Amino acid sequence: MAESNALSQWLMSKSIIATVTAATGLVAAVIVGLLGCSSKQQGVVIYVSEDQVFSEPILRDFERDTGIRVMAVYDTEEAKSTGVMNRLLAEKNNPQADVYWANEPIRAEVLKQQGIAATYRSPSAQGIPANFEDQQGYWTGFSARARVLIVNQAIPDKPKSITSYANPASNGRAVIANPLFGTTTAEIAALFILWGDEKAKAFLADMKRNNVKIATSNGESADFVASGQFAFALVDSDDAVNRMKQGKPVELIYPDQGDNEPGCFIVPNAVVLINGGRHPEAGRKLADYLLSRETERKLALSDAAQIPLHEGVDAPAPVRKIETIKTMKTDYALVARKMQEIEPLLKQWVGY
Amino acid sequence: MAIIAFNSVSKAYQGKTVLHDFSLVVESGQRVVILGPSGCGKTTVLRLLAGFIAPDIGTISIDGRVAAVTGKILQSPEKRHLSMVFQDLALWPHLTVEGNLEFGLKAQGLPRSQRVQRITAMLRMVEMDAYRRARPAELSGGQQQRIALARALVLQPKALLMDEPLSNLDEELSQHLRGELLRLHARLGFTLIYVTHDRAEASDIATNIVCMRHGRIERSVPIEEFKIGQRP
Amino acid sequence: MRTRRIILTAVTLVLGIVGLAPMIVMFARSLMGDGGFSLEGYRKLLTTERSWQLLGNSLELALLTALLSTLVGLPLGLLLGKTDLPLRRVFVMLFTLPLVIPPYIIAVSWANVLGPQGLAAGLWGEPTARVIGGLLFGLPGCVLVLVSTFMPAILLATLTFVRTVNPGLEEAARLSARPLRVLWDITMPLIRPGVLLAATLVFLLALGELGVPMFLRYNVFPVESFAQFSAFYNFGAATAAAVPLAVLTFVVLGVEWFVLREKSQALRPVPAGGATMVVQLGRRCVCLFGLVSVLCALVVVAPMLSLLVQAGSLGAYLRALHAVRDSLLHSLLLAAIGATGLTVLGFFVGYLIHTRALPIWRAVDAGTVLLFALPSTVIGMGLIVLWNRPSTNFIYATPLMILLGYLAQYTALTGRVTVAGLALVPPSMEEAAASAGAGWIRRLGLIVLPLLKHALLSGWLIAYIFCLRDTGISMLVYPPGYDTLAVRIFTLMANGAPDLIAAACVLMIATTVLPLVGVALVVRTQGRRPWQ
Repeated sequence: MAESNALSQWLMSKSIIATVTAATGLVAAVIVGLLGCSSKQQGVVIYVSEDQVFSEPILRDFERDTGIRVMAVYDTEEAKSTGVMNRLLAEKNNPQADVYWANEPIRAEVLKQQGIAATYRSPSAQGIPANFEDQQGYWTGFSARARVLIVNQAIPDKPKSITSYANPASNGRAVIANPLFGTTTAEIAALFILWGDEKAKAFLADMKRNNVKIATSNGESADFVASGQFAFALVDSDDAVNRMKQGKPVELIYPDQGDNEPGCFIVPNAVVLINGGRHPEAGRKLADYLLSRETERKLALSDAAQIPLHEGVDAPAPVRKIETIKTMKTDYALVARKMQEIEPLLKQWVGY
Repeated sequence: MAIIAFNSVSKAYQGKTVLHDFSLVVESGQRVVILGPSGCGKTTVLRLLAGFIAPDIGTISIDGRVAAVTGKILQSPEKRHLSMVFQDLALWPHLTVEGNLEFGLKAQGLPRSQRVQRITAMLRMVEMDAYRRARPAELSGGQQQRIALARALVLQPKALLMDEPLSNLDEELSQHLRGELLRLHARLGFTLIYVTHDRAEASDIATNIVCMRHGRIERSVPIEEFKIGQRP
Repeated sequence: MRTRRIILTAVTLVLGIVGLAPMIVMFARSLMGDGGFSLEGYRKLLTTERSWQLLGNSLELALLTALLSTLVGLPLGLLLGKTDLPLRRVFVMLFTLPLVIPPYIIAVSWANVLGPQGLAAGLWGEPTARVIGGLLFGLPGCVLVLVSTFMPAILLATLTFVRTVNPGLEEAARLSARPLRVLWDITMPLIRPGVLLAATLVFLLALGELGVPMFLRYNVFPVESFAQFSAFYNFGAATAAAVPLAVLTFVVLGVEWFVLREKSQALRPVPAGGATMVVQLGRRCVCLFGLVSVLCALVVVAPMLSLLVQAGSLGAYLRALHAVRDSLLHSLLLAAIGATGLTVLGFFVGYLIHTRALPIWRAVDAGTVLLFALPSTVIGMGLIVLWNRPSTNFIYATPLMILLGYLAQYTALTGRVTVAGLALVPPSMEEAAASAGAGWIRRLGLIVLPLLKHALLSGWLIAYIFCLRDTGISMLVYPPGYDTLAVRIFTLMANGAPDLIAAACVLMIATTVLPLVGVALVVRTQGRRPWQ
């Protein structure tokens, strides 16, 4: 009796063990399956700050043309940007990315300053003007946007310079994207370098006095102008081109093109090879592909409407070729450092 | 032989003492009824004995083995071989009548043939054999009571604990079920510890009565002595 | 007892590793500056006027959202739960719809309707549309979106708790008072603790909400934490910025524990044979039906329809499906696995809290709620800082990181659902099993879990919804090439074609709702407790 009880208990415990084992096995299978979905597989990992709708087709073409699988992490619109730069910074000691596609060179400079970028001079970069790449080879620019004025067609006195923001006639009629984020920050920093601190601060003060509207993004600024709520705004060229393609009553003006004027601030994309990336060979191939004339042509033709930096690459109107635009002489490394310096001032200006 | 022994047990809840220096010895085969008004601590006695709570002071022994000491449960409920019929019966609604009875037997490791044998015998004893496939929700109040009792007794426990099991029933049914309980006791000879506030119920069932008030034992006497005291 | 203690301690450790360890690491970072200990981040936070202003904005938004959600959700719940209004179930399903959708998608749909270029602009003309658009992009718009999103939580809480009121109490009152008086004086006071608990949950959700205020350009405190990340790359300051939210969470928790918890647990199931009192509306039925229909049309149908209109043709859906196909599959898989993990973890956490089986039960309860209330950016960064190292790289850069994020942020939901479920199961059920000789695991598996199955299913569905709609954590920790649908839509919003985005949003809604509809059709509840 006692033996059969013990036997029964043993059998009972066996069924419980079997159930627990099966459940553990299932959990283990799920975990192993998920662990297998990692970027350690063959391919290349790229973190992308350029809008996914524009960058993804380029990366798909790379996959098709080379057979190298691309695993990408995309960013969101500038003011909503959460993670790509922050992931790169947080992952500094154990990098996951091989390449970073920055939508403006300041981010690339930050990565260089943080020791996250590696040097690489791509053969595809031949023909790109020297001022659009890092002199030590930490990043290379391509497919640029220009900082332009989007102007509502209805207004008679169209601005030709960014100094129009300070013109009393523009009181309450101008909008600018939040200068704490993205390309606006870079341009303000560039003005501080170009004009000196005093003049730049005075310009900001004048803008405030003129009741400039602060939008959350360049896209919103463009929409405000397109709807007629404001007369003009300083935006990226692709924002202006897109509104024109949508049939909005706006036009695009490249500012400060006169003889004694500084020219238009150019914001190139930038390719950065990540220091310590797990797939360096594939990373270099991807960098070469992004910096190629063919990629620039595609980005110029797409809704990204970006300006090729290689001479002679086709760009449909209203996108102009880089050689036809008077561009602001810019040292992006200096701009990156200046941005950090003027951050408290800009916070105060915005009202933080 | 003493099956159960409470030795100077005290228990407090949220700063209020519900049991003061409670000492009780229960012999094998006795039917001990703990009688007292609501809040006198009688349910606490059962819960201490079942092992759901630990005494603040004192010891509890079951079948010669110390099951709980001051602040500590030494023997968990499932190891004490006691059965309990709860006030709300606690019949498992997702199990059939057969399933309710089989649960404890499976936990004890009884082989299937023995389980079937015991369940059949017990259901016949409580006259509920025809309902073995029914679920508790399909049974009447009285039928549920009988199943709760059967579930407790099928385990052949050292003692059966009952916490005011008949308080929700009408007088006729209650009397009938008291009779059933006594009949089963006569047949099976189990030790019974029964909690109630009803004097008539206590008189019917008990061999020994423990009267409690405000957490203390007022009187602990054999039933004959109690009944003498009740005569006008 | 020992088995129970060991397993519950292990569960607490898992929660600690998954959720609290990243927060401790981030908190430690917030105390570092220039290589040493520094309170500079906190000093700047507390001495900057803007910080207090943002905190005020957050509190204002959260309070208004909780208040208005309750003012609308409570009477609506009574109307749909205690009267004979026609099509009650349809209304409940429709009103609940916004709760299952990522809030920023609701914001997008409202912008489609009321924005300066929205559908309403065509009806009202541009000047009026501009004024309304101005209201949408600010506090009123945020309140509108968050109330339409979270009001269903109050509605569902009201519906649930009215069913727990003993009908005998209402019937006793009906002998001398009219139905409305009975509702006001008897029913409402009885369900008030439960509804207030739901309101505190809404308050916490609104307090930590990031996507909607950002989209509608209203500056709130989570945005500050966020800005510290994205604009200034300042992890320490970002974590410091999250601390006031944590403090507020503790305050709310304290209120809940000391004022509401005991009272809400006093609500017990309806006795066998009891049926909840139903108020006959009579002549008022038509008017009330009209009112509810209009509210439903304005708050739910119009925004949802705007997405359908914006999407336009079948072609947009096909393009959207092609664009988001992989992300959709990722989302479904991760949401299902995440929900299962959360249900298991939440069950043990809820059991621990309900039975107070370990002395640290209050800390566990507070910890899960704190993690739920913290901005997802802080949790995400904490996960990266903790797990991104060579020794744990086999976990980092895999989808397991997203699951860890889900477990960190959402265990409070499934834990609370388990607590609520266990509150309806008489403790005598488990005690009877213990008396019958069953050990803890057997009691859990054969008695407690079957009795809890409806609560566990509800918990799974709630977890599934939150996992599916998660954006903040996923965006920070998804491995390259493994983005989720919610993240995909968010990234497509940058210059994506409006019809494509709208179609993707509709796909997101369908992905969330269809499984729920399927489950609702399969599971028939009869409003009875299992033991009746």
